[in-house]
Amino acid sequence: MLTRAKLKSRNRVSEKIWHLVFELPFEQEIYPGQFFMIKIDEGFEFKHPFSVHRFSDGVVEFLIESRGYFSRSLSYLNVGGTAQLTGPLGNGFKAKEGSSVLAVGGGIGCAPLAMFECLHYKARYLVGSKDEKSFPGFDLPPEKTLVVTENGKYGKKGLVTDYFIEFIEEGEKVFACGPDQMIIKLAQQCRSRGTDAYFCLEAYMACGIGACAGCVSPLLREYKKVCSDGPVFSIREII
Amino acid sequence: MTEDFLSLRGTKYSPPIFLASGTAGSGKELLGFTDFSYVGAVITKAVTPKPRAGNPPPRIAPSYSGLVNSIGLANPGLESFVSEVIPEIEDIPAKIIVNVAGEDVKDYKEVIEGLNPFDLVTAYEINISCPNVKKGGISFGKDPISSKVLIEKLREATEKPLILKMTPHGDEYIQIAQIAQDSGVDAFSFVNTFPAVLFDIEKRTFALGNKTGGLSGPAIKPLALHAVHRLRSVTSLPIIGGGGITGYKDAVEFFLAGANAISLGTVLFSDTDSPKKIFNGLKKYISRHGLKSLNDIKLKNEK
Repeated sequence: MLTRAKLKSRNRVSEKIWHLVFELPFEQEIYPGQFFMIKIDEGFEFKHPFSVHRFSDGVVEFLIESRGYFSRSLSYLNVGGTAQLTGPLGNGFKAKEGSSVLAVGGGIGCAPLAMFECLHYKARYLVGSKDEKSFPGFDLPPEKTLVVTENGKYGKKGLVTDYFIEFIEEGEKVFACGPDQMIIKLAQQCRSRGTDAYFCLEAYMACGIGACAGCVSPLLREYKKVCSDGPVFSIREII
Repeated sequence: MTEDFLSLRGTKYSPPIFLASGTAGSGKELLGFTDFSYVGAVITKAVTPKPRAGNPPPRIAPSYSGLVNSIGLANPGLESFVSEVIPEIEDIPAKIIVNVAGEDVKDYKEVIEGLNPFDLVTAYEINISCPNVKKGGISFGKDPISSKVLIEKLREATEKPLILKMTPHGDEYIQIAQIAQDSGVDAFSFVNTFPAVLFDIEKRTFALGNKTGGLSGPAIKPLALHAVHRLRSVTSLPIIGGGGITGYKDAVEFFLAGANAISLGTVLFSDTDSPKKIFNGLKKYISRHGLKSLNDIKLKNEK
């Protein structure tokens, strides 16, 4: 689906992270990890992928980290202004009924985690960021969430992978999204304890729909397309 | 208003708007996003005899008004193309042209002979211009003698139209175009990307896994127009011109440069429905200028 969507609200979550809510009426379910390609300009402008943070009747929400020219422009979009949204795209993570998930997020990789709350999955959360300025996980339920920052100014001090083994409970599947080094380390930890895990990968994308084959990831054993074969991949596909 | 089309060996491509190889997948990826009634043909990603995994990531990096890519002809190979891709694209409401690549003459011939029985493959775009592979590709595009041999062999191998996709880099395309015209190609597809490099300044590495890539997008438009205009001066064959077209005004410029049809590539990453918008823009332009068809878009007072 390709729609010009109106920005309903925009709030600063932390120094670098913005929460954007777009009016976007649609009926279909969206799964954790699914994303939209977004552009603002009516004329020529590359689209950029952003995973869905939450969705509900008539709105889709995103967390935007201001990193480069486009994300900065998007984070400054005026309420009432519009952007072009294409999606939802990608496979998304579909949990079996009754299964419990430990969702792990690093930095802006925390963005898709709130989807588990939207879908009422049985989930707990392990989230981390460099510091309190770049922490994006404020709207996860505190009683089910362990927060970690590298400088220790918010939550526990360290990396999510320092706390993963002690935090995970028997029978939980893992869904993880974050920086490459976090994914690699988590995949090792999951393998060593025989945990079923799914990783939501990030890649720069041109088309977002499987046409250009530009978004293969160094974290995958094969050159699969992150946009259309993923972005969620099983641990068996991760290096 | 007359119907606008490009005719190659009796096959009509209408309107004369092509989706450039590499940007439109096999066509099926654009279903639901692109109105194919405004697409004369989808030119598929390259097909080679054997599967190719493609180049290591990162494969794409953005630049000002452009994109540098080095996909490396990633494709499932001829056998899978026939058994898996062809059934998936049978119902696409647009004509299909297959981009053919290889390391030597035998490779190109094998792909063409393997696809000849399929009527949905209406023509072949012979890729002698991929900047992102070591063997084949651009090494033909830089060597008039070997490209002559290649075209003569492929002409013997098929009755379907042969479209030669050339690199605008260097001067060889002038000589190759003249040779190709006499060796049996039916049209030129011009331009492919320009050789390009970007760096990752934080990692202090090349931005792309393959180090070098090809630049496409609006950044190359004036370079592409220059190359198409030069090509027009040495050939009377149809030119499917493109390189950085984002709107109908760019398309008009390619017709003025001497193209008979246009190809859209990188613009699809911004707007999958650009063929419709560009077609409608061209129609309005023609009527505003009192012209009958796209082929009437010609330079005034050219000496």
